[in-house]
Amino acid sequence: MEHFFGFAFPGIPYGCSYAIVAVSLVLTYQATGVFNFAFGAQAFASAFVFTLLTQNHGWSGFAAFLVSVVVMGPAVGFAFDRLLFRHIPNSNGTAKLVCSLSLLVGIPSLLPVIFGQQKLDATATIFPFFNPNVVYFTLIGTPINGIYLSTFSVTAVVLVALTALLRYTNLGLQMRGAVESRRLVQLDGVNANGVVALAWVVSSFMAGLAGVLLAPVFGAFTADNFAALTVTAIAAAVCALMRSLPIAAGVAVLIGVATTTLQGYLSPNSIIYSAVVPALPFLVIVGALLFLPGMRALESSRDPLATIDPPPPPTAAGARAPKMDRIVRTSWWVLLAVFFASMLTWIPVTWESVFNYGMALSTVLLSVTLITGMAGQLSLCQGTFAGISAFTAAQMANHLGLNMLLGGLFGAALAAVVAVVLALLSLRLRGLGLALMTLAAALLFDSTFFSAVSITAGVEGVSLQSKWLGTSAFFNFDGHALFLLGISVLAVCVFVVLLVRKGTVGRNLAAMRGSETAVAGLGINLSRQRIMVFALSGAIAGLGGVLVTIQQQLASPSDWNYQYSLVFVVLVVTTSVSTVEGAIQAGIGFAVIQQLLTYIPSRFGGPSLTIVLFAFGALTYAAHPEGVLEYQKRRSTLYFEKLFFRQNEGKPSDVSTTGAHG
Amino acid sequence: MTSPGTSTFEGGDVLSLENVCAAYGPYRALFDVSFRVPAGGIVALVGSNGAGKSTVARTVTGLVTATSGRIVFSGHDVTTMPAFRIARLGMAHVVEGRGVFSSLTVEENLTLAFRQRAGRKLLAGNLERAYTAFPILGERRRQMAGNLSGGQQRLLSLAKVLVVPPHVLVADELSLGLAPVVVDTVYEGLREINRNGTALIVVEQQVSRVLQLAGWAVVLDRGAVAYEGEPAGAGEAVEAIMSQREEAASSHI
Amino acid sequence: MGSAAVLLSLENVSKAFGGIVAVQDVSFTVDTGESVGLVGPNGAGKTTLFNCVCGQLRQDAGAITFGGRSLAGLPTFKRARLGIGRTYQKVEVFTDMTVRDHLMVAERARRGEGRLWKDLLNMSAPTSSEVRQVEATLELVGITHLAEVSVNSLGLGLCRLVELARALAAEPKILLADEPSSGLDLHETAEVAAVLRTVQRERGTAVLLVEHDLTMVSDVVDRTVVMDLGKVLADGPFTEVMANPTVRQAYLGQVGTA
Ligand SMILES: Nc1ncnc2c1ncn2[C@@H]1O[C@H](COP(=O)(O)OP(=O)(O)OP(=O)(O)O)[C@@H](O)[C@H]1O
Ligand SMILES: Nc1ncnc2c1ncn2[C@@H]1O[C@H](COP(=O)(O)OP(=O)(O)O)[C@@H](O)[C@H]1O
Ligand SMILES: [Mg+2]
Ligand SMILES: [Mg+2]
Repeated sequence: MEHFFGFAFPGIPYGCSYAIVAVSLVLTYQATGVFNFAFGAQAFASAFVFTLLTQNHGWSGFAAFLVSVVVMGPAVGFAFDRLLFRHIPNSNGTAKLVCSLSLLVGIPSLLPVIFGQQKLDATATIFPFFNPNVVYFTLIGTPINGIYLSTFSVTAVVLVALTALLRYTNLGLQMRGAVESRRLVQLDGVNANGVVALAWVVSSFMAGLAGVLLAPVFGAFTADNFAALTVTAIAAAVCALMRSLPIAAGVAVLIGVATTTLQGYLSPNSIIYSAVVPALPFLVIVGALLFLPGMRALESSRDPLATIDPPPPPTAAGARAPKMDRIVRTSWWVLLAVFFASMLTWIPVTWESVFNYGMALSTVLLSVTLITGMAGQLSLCQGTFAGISAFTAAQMANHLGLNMLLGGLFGAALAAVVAVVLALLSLRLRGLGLALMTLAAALLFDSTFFSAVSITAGVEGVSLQSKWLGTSAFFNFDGHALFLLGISVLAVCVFVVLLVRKGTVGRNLAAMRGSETAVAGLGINLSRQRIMVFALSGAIAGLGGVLVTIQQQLASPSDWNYQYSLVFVVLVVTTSVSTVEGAIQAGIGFAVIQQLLTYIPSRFGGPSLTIVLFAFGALTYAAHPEGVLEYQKRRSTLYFEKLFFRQNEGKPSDVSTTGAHG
Repeated sequence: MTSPGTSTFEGGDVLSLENVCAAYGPYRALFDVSFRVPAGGIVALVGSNGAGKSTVARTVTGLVTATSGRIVFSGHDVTTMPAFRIARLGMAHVVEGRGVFSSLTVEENLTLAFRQRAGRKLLAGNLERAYTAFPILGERRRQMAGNLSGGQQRLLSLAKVLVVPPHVLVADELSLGLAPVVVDTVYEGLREINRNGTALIVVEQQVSRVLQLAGWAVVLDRGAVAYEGEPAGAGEAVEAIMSQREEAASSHI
Repeated sequence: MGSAAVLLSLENVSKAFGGIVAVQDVSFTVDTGESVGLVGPNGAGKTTLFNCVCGQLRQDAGAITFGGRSLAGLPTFKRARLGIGRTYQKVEVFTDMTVRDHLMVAERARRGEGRLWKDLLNMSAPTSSEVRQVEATLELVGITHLAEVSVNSLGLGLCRLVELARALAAEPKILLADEPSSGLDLHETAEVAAVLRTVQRERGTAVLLVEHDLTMVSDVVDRTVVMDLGKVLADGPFTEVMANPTVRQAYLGQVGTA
């Protein structure tokens, strides 16, 4: 028994750290309506600044605490609300998720851009009352030092304070009301914007506090540690159905204890130790999503006053006057022809491969358009689908000598199968539930499939051999074969997506976004439609993955990890999620910007800044859910129309004709 | 003030709209709407579907901001004021359709409204009165409001304003979804709070019924005022619009 | 074959939410092509009953059969394919879609289509017969002028008409209409009543109508079922049922403005 406690007790400080984050996540969700994926990133940022100030600049702990937690935390929260979340309508769950995801992607990439690469270790601690190095007493044979006492007491205080705020104060009530409908709560005389801003301030303060408190618990100071912390906290929050703070805290502590206990009893060489224990949080997430019906109803409550919002503006293409439309279409075709001719003639090899990469990426991104743009659901594992296909093709070429192109088809089929399995598992999940499920799937694949050396050949990845593409001289990499291949696959995929969107399935998916109840009530099999779209999207992502592999001449697991899946969604949303051009512009834009950034000082170079650019681009999603490019396109179209045609008739300006009877 | 305000004398107006225009994004919905609500008066707002009744209600309470014109509410210019400030001046709005927080319990819904309007001290008393007046709400006080039946939800949003009466109450689609027996109770409640000084703007599809209640009527047609005056004349005005429509429709085909 | 005409039959259906009994031992039938009114005070359990019939909720006890076939275990979409159509008390429209597209979804659903391969072969453009059907339904409900309007810009009342049109476009054998007239003015209510009578007469569609506007109910129905507190209070011709003192007390109040 003593053995058991010896293993279990060391889990408590970890569990308490998870609990602080989990409780804050639930609080944020309840008080702002946003599932803040970026919570860990915010915590990391505060901890980073704190450590930087104390270690590199010699500040005292107290002053650094003031700056990094008391000032920076609330300021960041206030900015989030003002610049971002305030502009998202209550009912638009996807936009909230995308914004918090882009913060998750953007913040850790932003820090090195601002501060440069720093080597920090998190020894500095500001645990208030207890000294971490002093053993205060022993409990059932386990020495209890300051870390135990401080994490435990801080967790308890946080739990009680936040529960009281949310459940027993008027402010908490107002926050929960405002989450459901900012308009309705205003009719009761509540300053909704103020209340929600306050909720963000509190939540971000908690993030800062958690970051600074928890950094020492984990020893090494890396963004990954904080990501892992967030994942575990998410698991606990999901078990609490995003509602109950005490349950979230309890589950978090249990996970912490279970982890150290398992690690204690299992031999470090056993498969369970190396595979199951790290995957514990994802397993908990998946289990909770599968078996807790409460998670399904999570996103269903809607703003009763959402009907006050005017209909979304038509797409740029739909709003163009016929004459303008012809001009724009013609110029697109001309541009395409020029691009085609240039790629085959004068464009230098470096740039040709940049464009090739862009097109391959666009194919992957098209799969996001399919799921997020049309079905209105967030899938956070499109990169995983692409990776599965890429490694399948590569390994089939490697071991079976199968031509990579043929193998690519097998790979895409396998990706589609995985997508179908995932769709079957998450049939009843929507919105946040589905996003979490796919995220968990991505993480699970990262820690199993993609880290299996036999499949991915470790971190270096599998490098492509030219014989895999057959013996034809056509496929030597200096030629234009890749370009022709890439552009034709892309064209086919674009065509497929357009057809689906135009067709019955596309219309049904659009209807489903409005009301699933009514769609089912008309006799449409929701599940089948979803499965089909997932399968198609998995296959397209798979094709894209193979293309990227061929182009890069390397299949590396780090190209397809969960972070890239997040980046993919963020990329597409930035340009335009509802049009196919959006995906293409995002893909090519990403490749081009990345190339351009190699020309500037290295501190700003690398993928980091590109991602930051796009992540912050995605934040415009709040103001322009149609995508910022789409928005600009519509604006400029209107502008040019005014300029050239001076005609503005037929524009929606007077609705009394539409509403009137007769 | 025995007969509810039939007069339109200046000093007695608690609310006035002057040439108010409103729009939903690019879609214009109101064109130069002007009318007044005398203090303690009852104004019936009628018109066919899509005429702009709800838009008037929303503009008055600040949910939709007027694009031009002026709205004055008990001496304050509220044209561009945010909705919560207007509410704090004593305006209440029972919205069309569902108007409750479905993830809060019945009691929390009521608390949210009563705390803001009547303060914390009177909270317990007000809750008690609400539960006596509407026993079904008392039985369900711990239930999520979203799980109430449609009519019960309407009742909950009416209870908020009937128990703690505001200066001006805007009720959109008053009897929507209510059983006849409850409609009677609600009309009785409205008369009662009106006797105690609350001015009412009532939007209602049961035209004849609301015209009996009101002292003044405004008929809207396609976003503009088509008739303003004694309730007695409103029925005719509505009929006229209707027959006009029918003619237009038949000549169209 | 006396029961051949029975289309929908409920036997001792009960449903409780936690401690709240919403529907208790409800039994009645609707014949093919018959129109039945279902009235009762707020919270009587009418909508809950609809949800049980359509499969959005599972009843705790009792049996529901449709066209002689038990509905037990069938998901909503299969019940809809058998011919159960409905409108919703809390409007369920497809945000961001035009009215015409609403009907198009229903039209395709009625034909049991929605195959991905057809889309991929570009075979899913609206056919002329589909377009004609949609136009006819729009015309029937009187919302032709709204065809290209996005439902976001419609008020509550017009959304109800869109829902009605959508339900009719699926050509159900029975239409469950949940307060179709709430939010509509007198003229429109009369129009809706006329539409319901028309589909009943011309297509033989049975109608189960929940409504608080008793004028409309008396206009449309052949028979009326009254519910209160989850139980059936009375079942019979409209005037007879409304004369019943228990019903008057529970539903109309003393005044009884019917
Ligand atoms: N999900 C639920 N959870 C708990 N109680 C519920 C739920 N849904 C309905 N009820 C209760 O069941 C009863 C019947 O509700 P129902 O919606 O069927 O009433 P209704 O007859 O349609 O009333 P109305 O005329 O107001 O629409 C009500 O008392 C309601 O509060
Ligand atoms: N959210 C909205 N977006 C665009 N137009 C709207 C919106 N809501 C209402 N409208 C339009 O405004 C006009 C007035 O509508 P409304 O005030 O709801 O009428 P009523 O309440 O009299 O039925 C109608 O033509 C309607 O189409
Ligand atoms: Mg209205
Ligand atoms: Mg109902």
